[in-house]
Amino acid sequence: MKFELAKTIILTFLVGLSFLLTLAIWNYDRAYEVAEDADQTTEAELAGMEENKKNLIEPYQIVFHTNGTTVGYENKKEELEIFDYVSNLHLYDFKMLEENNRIDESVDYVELVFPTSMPSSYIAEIISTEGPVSIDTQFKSIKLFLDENRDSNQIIFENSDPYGIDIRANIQNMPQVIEHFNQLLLVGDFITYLPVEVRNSQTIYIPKDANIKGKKFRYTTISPDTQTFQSIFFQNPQDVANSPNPEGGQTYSDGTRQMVVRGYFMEFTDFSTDDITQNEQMEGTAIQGIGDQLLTNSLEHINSHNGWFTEKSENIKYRLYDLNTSLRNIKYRMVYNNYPVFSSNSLEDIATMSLEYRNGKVFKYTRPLMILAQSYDRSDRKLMSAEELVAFLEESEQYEMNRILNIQLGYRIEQQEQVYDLIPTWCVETYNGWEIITRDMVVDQGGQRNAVGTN
Amino acid sequence: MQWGQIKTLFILCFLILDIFLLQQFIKNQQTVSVLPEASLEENIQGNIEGLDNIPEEPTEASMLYAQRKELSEDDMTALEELPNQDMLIIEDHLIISRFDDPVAFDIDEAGDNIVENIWNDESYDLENYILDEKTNTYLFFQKIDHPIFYNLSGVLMIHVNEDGDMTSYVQTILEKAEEQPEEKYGLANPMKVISDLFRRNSIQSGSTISKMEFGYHNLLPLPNGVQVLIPTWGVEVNDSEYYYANAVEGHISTRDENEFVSEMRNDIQEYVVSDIGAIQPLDPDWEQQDITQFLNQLLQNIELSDGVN
Repeated sequence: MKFELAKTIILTFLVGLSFLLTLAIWNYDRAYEVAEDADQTTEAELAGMEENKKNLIEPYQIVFHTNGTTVGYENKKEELEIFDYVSNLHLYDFKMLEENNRIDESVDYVELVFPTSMPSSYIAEIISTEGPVSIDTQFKSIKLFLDENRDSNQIIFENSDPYGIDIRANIQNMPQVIEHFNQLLLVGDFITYLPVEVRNSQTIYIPKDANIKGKKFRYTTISPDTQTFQSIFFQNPQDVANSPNPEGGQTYSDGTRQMVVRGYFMEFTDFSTDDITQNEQMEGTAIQGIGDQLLTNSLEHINSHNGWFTEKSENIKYRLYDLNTSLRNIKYRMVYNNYPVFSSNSLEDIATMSLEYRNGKVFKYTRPLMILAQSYDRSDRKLMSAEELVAFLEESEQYEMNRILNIQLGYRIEQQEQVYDLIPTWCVETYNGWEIITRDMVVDQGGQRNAVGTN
Repeated sequence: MQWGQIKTLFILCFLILDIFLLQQFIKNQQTVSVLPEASLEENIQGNIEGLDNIPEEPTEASMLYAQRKELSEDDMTALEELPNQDMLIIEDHLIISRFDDPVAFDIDEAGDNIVENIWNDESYDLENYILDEKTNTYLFFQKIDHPIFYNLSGVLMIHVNEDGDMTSYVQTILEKAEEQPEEKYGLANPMKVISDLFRRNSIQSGSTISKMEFGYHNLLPLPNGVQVLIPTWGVEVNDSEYYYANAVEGHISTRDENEFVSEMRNDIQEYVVSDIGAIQPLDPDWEQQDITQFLNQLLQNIELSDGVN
């Protein structure tokens, strides 16, 4: 018995020891991890708000192709309701669209066009899907076919590259969806869209008679001179020196980072992103991964200082407008009443916020420092009709139709003495970016570009 | 099976488990004690030579505010008195000079050669230089208590010909701003900078730290007005590679002498192309045509030797 008692004691001791040792090893590991540096956090904020991905990724245009014509809502804000409806559809059976399986577009369909090409992983951000979409490609538009006889390819995510891969999927409860859209077509107020053939024989659609009204806005501004503001961008704001910029405006710098403020526009650059000891975090990542990181990181960065100057009561918001995975650049554009806003001054582009990343860090960040508030009506000016615009572009020496990427109806933002004026404008996208078309250009045939016109 | 036998079996199992855990525990303890105790120096000793060149001071410093010096009437008079050269002044701060006859230049006695021919030589660190072999240009950085590394507004660039004689030079000067920041920062340990560079493979095993010194540096490409200069450790490896570690925030950059000379060249060219009015000859009799010819020749000189040597 004594022997058994000794064995019990030894066993208890060994079990106890194993517990103690396990705990000791665990604790050691934890102490090791704490040594990692936490990221520097900023508490300073701008006067804006936070945003989420769903609010930023929206189509710029929704049109119905029905009975051989193309129509869109007279009141462009109603497009957002359609997008909301499409976002809540339940999609399944995502597949790659086979090359030889071209889609019959003679039936009626709804087309949602986005401002820029996006990686297919964004589909899961805007539409209910069962898990992430695993096909690695890009899409710029969504086509939803209103065809009861179709049992596959009910919805297509179309690549902007005619040779790129498209994604197809099916929609649950398709008859109900078709019924919904047919009902909308019956009761809604629509205007006709004009098809225009641009680069690569692609067809874009522009409203024949633009029903768009300008507005004037009062605004509030953000002073870049406070330390609280500077602490958003600089690690040691107390050392920041500022001096007038020869090109106008002020330059703030701490020797590593620089912030140039011109009017109510700022451009921040961090030169330490070229640090040789940085890891190339995004290097070698698939395009889809880079696209995801750009969207997530830029959103988090702007959210961290409440940098979205969204004004719901005035229908002002921001929308993802440009995404360049090879340059690691992402751009959000101001949108008013669901129409994009363009700035005629490319050096002080207060209509956009853009971020460029290097080595996983923000390298460049441009944004406005003013918030539009309180709008009031302005007198109407006649805008060119779609036909007049196309005729002008075709005759113009400055533009060639096969070099135009897109044409959009929107506003150009101009600073008057006490207000910002949002003037209805046609805008053309070429390889040089967006260019504003004014009536002056029609008069003297491309003489004065970006001149303040009488349209 | 009897309970007694089961106990024996358990004892055996736990004994083995405990031996294994004990072994892990001791191993961890060793790493824990080795890491902080083994100094950074030991870590790189044997792999890198020239550790004696690593300074220990300073341990704290402030940022330095400086701006480019605008030349006064007195400065101009002093410049006019320099022998054997034609001179252009760009925007009252950038001096470009060409010797009528090339002047013998011995880099080991650079100080003596420069004192006689170049104004305000005491502002530069003449004991150290960097040679851009592609353009035959010697770079001397300005000193404000400590050297200012690679700053287009505080450098003396001397261009020599194939015989090694000075033919022309470009000179800029920074001056301390009146207001200086007060906040002092604890600086990164220079040994840690070297070990970081070694760990990230920027310094290979077997390399020599030929020089390491404290100075100031900033990363802005074309600074105007007041510049913030950051306390920086300048590291020279194998007499040929240069690393600059921000001693406050820790990030490390490298600079290339040829790129720096090209930046200066582009800067001058920018004036030639878009703002020729900002370029003034010291001798008022010069015609605009002579100025353009002079500048084009200077720019061509830098470009011609580029890549040839």
